[in-house]
Amino acid sequence: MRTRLVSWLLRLYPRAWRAEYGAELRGMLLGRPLSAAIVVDVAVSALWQRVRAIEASTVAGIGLMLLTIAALVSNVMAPSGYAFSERIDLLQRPMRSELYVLVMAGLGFWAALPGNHWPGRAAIRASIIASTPLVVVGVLMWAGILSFVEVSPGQSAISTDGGIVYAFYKGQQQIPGPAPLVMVLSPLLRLPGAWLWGSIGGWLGRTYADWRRRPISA
Amino acid sequence: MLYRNYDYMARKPSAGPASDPELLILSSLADGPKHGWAIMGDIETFAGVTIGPGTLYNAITRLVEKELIAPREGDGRQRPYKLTARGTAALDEQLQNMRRIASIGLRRLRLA
Repeated sequence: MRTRLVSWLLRLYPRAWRAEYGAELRGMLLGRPLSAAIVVDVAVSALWQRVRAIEASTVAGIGLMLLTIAALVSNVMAPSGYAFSERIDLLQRPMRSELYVLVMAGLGFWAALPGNHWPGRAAIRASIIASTPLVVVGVLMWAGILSFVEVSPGQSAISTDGGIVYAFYKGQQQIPGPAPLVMVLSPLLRLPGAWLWGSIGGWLGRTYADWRRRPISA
Repeated sequence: MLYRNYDYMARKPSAGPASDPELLILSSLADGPKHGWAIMGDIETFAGVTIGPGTLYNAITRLVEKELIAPREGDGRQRPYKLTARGTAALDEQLQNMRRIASIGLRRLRLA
């Protein structure tokens, strides 16, 4: 029972951590009475190690994914009219917005600081996570569950007829809305851009790290 | 910066820098290498602080990552840890800072 509890507690830790410290902690836990306080202490510490083990690209990807979901929900909610063309890029094409570029470049910068040689790969990972909701929308559009309408500037609310409508505001430049296939393939379509911006950020990060490590001249 | 507020699981009647697991571990290793058990016992003796095993190994993980301590060769189950040169310098700096602050605080208390 006691051995099983200790094994269960150790399984809460990330695998890499267990490989390094697991035997020591196991020996310590088996060598003394296990109080409730110790069990809680070990469980909380294990969760903290799990949080620490999450990659920055996952955090950035989830953050962008939430933003993408907010933009999609905003479009589905179909606001009665729109007059703010500035918001179109963010709401209609969150994966092409300046924010997306900044996050990808920032992630590449951050990844390169501790010596990650593949900042573009970290950006790609974040981009794939972030674009997951677009795939879902594309599939729903394809299946006919989600209607898709294009709205030009000045047009008013959309008649939904009780269905769910994904509204795409074409903006002043009358850019057509994305086809379902494009939505489904969006994670792949975003890869070159993600890699490019992540690599640029990574180059800046490496340059900054080298500058910080430079020898101090007398 | 060596000292951070990582005292979330250390249990001690008084809070503050003296209950910081990282500082306590560094202080424990100042007189020679010790393994986890010995570190815990030593801290209980000299600081009156009981650190849980999870908290202890979280702090050890951070200190190893910061290269302030390093494991020595052992049988894998209970490796002893030792202070690195960087850890010695960091501990010395931290303790000097604490001594300076303590001395100023005590002097002001006496004047008040």
